[in-house]
Amino acid sequence: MPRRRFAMLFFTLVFFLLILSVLYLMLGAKNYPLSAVLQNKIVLQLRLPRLLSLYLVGFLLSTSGFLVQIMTRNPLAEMSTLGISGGASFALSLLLTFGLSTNDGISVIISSVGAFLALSVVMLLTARTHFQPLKVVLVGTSVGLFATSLASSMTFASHNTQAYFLWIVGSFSGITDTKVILMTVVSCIFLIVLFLFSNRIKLLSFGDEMATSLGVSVNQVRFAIMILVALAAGATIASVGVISFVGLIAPHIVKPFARTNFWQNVILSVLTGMILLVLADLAARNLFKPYEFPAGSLTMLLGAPFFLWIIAKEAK
Amino acid sequence: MKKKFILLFSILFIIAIVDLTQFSTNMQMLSILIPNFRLPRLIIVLAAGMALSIAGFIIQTVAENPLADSGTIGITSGASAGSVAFLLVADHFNLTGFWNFSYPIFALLGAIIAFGLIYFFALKKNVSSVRVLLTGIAITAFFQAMITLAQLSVNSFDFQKVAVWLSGDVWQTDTSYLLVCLVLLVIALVFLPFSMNKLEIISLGEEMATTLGIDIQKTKTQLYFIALLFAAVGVLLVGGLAFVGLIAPHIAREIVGFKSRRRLAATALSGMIILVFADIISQLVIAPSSLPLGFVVAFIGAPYYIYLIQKV
Repeated sequence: MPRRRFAMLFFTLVFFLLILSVLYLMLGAKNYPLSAVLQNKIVLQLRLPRLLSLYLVGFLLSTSGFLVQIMTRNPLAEMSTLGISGGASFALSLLLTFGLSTNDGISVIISSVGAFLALSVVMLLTARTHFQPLKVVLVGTSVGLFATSLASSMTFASHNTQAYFLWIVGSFSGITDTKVILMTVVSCIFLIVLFLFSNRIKLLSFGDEMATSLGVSVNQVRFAIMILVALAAGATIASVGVISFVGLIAPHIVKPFARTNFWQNVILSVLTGMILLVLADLAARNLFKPYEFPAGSLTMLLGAPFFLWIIAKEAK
Repeated sequence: MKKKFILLFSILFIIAIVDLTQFSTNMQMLSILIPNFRLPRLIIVLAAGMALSIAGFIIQTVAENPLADSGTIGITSGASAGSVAFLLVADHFNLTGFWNFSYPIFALLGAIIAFGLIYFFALKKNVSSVRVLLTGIAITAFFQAMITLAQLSVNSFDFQKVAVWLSGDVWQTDTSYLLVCLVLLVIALVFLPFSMNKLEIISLGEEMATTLGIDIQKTKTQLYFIALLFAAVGVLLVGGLAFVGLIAPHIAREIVGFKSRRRLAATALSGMIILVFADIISQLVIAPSSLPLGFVVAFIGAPYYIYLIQKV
């Protein structure tokens, strides 16, 4: 779309995100007026890191969703529908089972490895059907289910069910400064690699033959995307658990506006993803005070009808 | 053919014995364990295996979709959400005893709602098999999110119970509850002989059925409703246990071929064998404690499901 329209949309979304963020900082178990927000300890030490983690997760989920949708040419592709979340959850359940820390860089790397393995399995299993979009999602969800069952069994056998369940369901309540820093590092790596590969990824969306004839090594680009997405999955799932459907929804909302422009798609998807997440967690923290429910269950609830809608569109 | 059924029966009998004794010959201990704990559990597992596999058989035949069963098209999660809804209500008003009879009503209602969704979004429109399954995944995600939300809104709720509704396990061996479920299963079984003819005609294809003067939509709806009844019984007994209804009809077809009645009987037997076998494994793997049944079934079921997807 033309620059001017993009700028308009961009600033509208940023403005909206700002308003939501201010609300997010003000409202909670105790509400504070706007004037008191910036001096308040609770706000600065608890709500601000949590807001930052929402931004980071929003960024990682939307860009990953956008990338796997390009890579597999599949509008339904997303971390949870490709089994990536399941793989990462399984890797993390191993940490819990052996009583290791889940709050350091190692846990991010381990869950990234799990995510990468699951994604590779799904790709291998569906290569024969030439990555038929609907079948890929079926295989992906099954692989995810299998990995999740393994994870549940492991944690069940080692009496960590409750910890695992609370954590895997996608909640921002257990965020720590370490996790925010880790996610920031991963996001930076993600951005740098995305810049380096952006031209080649753009060509990938024209189809394999076209990209190959223009001198792009398709498999290399695919591999880079897989690594990126696995890293993003590892970082988010190790920090906040599984958040489904955000990576699916955000790029879809943006697509009609941004059409084929790569960076416009990325930027607007990221903003949309952040807005969705801040909204979800705002509701999760404030709807049933003093109880909090996991933001992940809310995105799942809203994402399911959206998923149906995309299936219907895809089948046409 | 007779030999095959005798073989199935004897396998079932042998693993049932194994499930009851669990390789121990300590008669004194067994005389306490079996009547009080293991026999009720075995009855539940058998009934659930039968109910879930028959539901899967009917759904696969009517939907003409080899990968459909009450789990994959979202009905199981609907029935689970219905049961959880009643758990919440019971928890809130401290309902016990007599109120256990409401479980089936809520589970059936949940199953009907889920079926309404899958019917409206997929089955009604003659869409591809794969799309039906994806719609089922979306419906399952929706109800599972509901269950998670419900579980976190009640403090006294324990996590094991939720795990049951999300993945399946034996959760309630209360005699009166068990009786209610068995009565429901018997009612569903009574309907079965009357629907076999319809099922056979439907499986001949739409044109054939129309020439025979059958109202296809009406017949299909009736058959689906019977399947819902079976699925709801299965959910009441073992929660959201997946894959049994999916695999059993395939195994039965391999063993006895395509004839409906034979295949149905073999399906029910296979379903029972799968679940009892899974139950033995779940009791032995991390003895003295036991794994939830649903996990064990998923280990066998998920790879098989992926293998079937490749073939569609």
